Amino acid sequence: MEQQTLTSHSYLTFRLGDETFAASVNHVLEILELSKITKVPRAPHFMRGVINLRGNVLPVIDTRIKFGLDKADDTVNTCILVMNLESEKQKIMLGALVDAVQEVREIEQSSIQPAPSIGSKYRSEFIEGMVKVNDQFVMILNLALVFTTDEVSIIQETAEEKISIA
Amino acid sequence: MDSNQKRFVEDALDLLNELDEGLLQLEANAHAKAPLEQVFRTMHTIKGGANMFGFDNIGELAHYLETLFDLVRQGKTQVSDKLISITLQAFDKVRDLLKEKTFEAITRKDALYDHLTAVHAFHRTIDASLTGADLVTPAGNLKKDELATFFVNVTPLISMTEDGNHPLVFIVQDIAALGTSSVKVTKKQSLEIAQWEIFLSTTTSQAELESYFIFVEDESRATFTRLAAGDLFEQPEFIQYLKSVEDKPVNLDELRSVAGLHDDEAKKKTQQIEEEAETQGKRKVLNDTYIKVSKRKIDDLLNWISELIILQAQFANTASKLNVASLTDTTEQLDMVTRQLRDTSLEIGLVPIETLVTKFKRLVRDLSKTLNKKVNFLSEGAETEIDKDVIELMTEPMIHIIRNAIDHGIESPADRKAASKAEHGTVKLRAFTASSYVNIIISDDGKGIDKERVLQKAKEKGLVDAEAQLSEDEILNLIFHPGLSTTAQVSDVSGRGVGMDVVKQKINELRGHLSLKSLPGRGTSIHIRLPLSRSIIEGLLVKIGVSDYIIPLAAVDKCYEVPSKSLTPDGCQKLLLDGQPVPVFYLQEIFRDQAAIPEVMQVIKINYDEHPVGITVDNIVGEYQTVLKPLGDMYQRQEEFSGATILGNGAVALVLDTDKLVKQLVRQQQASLM
Repeated sequence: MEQQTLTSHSYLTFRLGDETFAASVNHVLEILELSKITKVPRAPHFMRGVINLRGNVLPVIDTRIKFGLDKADDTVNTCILVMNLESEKQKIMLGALVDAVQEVREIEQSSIQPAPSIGSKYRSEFIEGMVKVNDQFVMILNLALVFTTDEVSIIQETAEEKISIA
Repeated sequence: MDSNQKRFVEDALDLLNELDEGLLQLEANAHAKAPLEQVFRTMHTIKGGANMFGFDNIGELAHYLETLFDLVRQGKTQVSDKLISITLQAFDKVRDLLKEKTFEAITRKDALYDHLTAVHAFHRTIDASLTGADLVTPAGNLKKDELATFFVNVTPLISMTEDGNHPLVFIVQDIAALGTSSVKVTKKQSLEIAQWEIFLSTTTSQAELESYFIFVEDESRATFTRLAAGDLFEQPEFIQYLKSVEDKPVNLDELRSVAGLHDDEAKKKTQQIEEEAETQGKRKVLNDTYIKVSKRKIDDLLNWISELIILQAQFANTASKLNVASLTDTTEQLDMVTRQLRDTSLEIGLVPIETLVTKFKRLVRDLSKTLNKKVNFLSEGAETEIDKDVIELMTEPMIHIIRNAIDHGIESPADRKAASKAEHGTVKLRAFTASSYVNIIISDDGKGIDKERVLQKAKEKGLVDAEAQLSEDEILNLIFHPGLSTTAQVSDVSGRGVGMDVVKQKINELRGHLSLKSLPGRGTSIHIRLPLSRSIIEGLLVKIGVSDYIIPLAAVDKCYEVPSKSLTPDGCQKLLLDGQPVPVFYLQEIFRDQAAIPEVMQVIKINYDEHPVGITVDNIVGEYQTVLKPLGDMYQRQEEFSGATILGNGAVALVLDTDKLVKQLVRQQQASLM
């Protein structure tokens, strides 16, 4: 048993645009259907707004924008991952909009390859590693870092495409 | 630290407050027995607890101080200024230590070393005087006077209130504790004390009673009448007489005739009465009992109740759609019960500001000593209750205000004499609750704020234009400007950077309000208004586009209907409201809501720093009392929203912080004009 938990972890995979990402289930509390999101005016544009989660106010992040993708209309598949994140600075609960949730799967630790630091679209500190699932590369995210960073976007900044903070 | 040690720290901090209070009373009246006993008992409790839970250094210090006070109790030495100072300083250090986070930091061996040495040194001086000659007569050898009943009339010559810090208040309490007593306080309209009428049967002699008032001779007049030997309280006629004068002044002749009836027969019962007097001395018992509950439990309770309120609103919403008579009935009752429940549970979290008052008494004492000023501290309404968190957040700002009052406000005794004022300055704290706000007024009778100097200073620092013509209020409000300190010389007491601007900011953060009045030569008064609770908010529910917003009622002045045509959507413009030009911000545009603009818009006039400002909304739904929820760290930059709330239909409404919103809008406006 112990051997197994050491070498294999459960990951939730979800889709954003054409890409598939995975995140450790330890951080994901639940998955919600899309409900009415109240916009907070004058907030950074990657913040979609707030929702009522059983009497508490939960901020919701538009993950597509955070990941540097174009804004897209919500579909029936769009849902909110409710996450509990801890970083060095803080402990927060938030929701993240994703295009679709796919599955929970066990991933062997040994099959995870380090993320390439060059040539990747995303900044390497946000990616824990890559794994090949059904001939497709899935990026395993460091959720706590991705969603607690002050940066607007997690894509690599180059001289030409400097991201301005809204 | 384990949970027992944590509890000790909590308890000890409370005990230290009691100790302070007792020591201050002792300082005011060195012969008083009740505070001496209290101080001794409190130290003993601290010592016991400290030793039991391993705070050896605190236990040791408490032990030696306790020994000193035991000498006082035995009559071997007397309370002196030095003793009080040493004790206060030592326990101040203990208080600081207890605020450390870790057990190791608190129990550091050398932390209390200096104070221990001071205590030892002081002890040696006492020992030396004791071995020289037994100068002090042991209390037990004093010949006890025979039991007699006195009538004492005490009239203060300066103003004081019952919960103030004037020694006279304590002296009256002490005198009353000398035997069986009945104290009648007559107050003026202003709650200041007009006189005390004390009936007292005691074995203390009249001369000794008179000695209690030696130090307050200038500030009070006391007359003593020996009514009869023995205890008149035993006589039903006397008790009846006491009842009959409950609400009228005592007539001495009448009193003597009542007393004279029993002078002789009363003499015999001395022995029995003495015992009774003893029990009477200890009668300071509160009729209400208290339990200590962890803050977390109360927070949990409040959370559940706020959820209940939301659910109840949802339920009422659904019920009204169904329109079933029996259901409507139940909903209404449920509504009432929920409200009651909410109000009661909110009260649980409230504590009286008394704890603050003790702190302030101490502050006033220490400050007036360092500054060589004579300051009399009065407080009124110390029983007023306020949220514990609010008290904690308000302590620093209020200490700052009081510091300012004593440092800058109250003049030196010589100056006061020259201005033909009483040598004793007065700092007064008045607290009371009105609707859902707590009002705290701190006033002094000092020299007031020098408006000329404030203005000159502000001009020097370039805060206002050199040519600017400012109204008096505008000048006074400059005090709250960051970077303006009116003391030419930065003293140890005030003017160390944390200025009135921080005070104002803190109060704003609590959604409170602050105003200031000052009369030259007459003094300054600062009025603080705070919401009773940090989480409940009274607001106006409004709609902009598809979203709901709550505007705190405290900020709202008046609402107007304005045809949308008369407004242009770009930024800010002036509108005539009640004949007065008021800048109006077009919130629909600012919040970038795409929804169609209605034909008639509502303009809400709000107070921003005493200036009226308008903001537009689509429509006003009505007043709404609601529970404020934080927006969370992700929105910490959105200062214009103090939080959010869940409405009856389950939707989220944002709560506006109008002060911060307007401040930002004004700044943007200025930036765009440049």
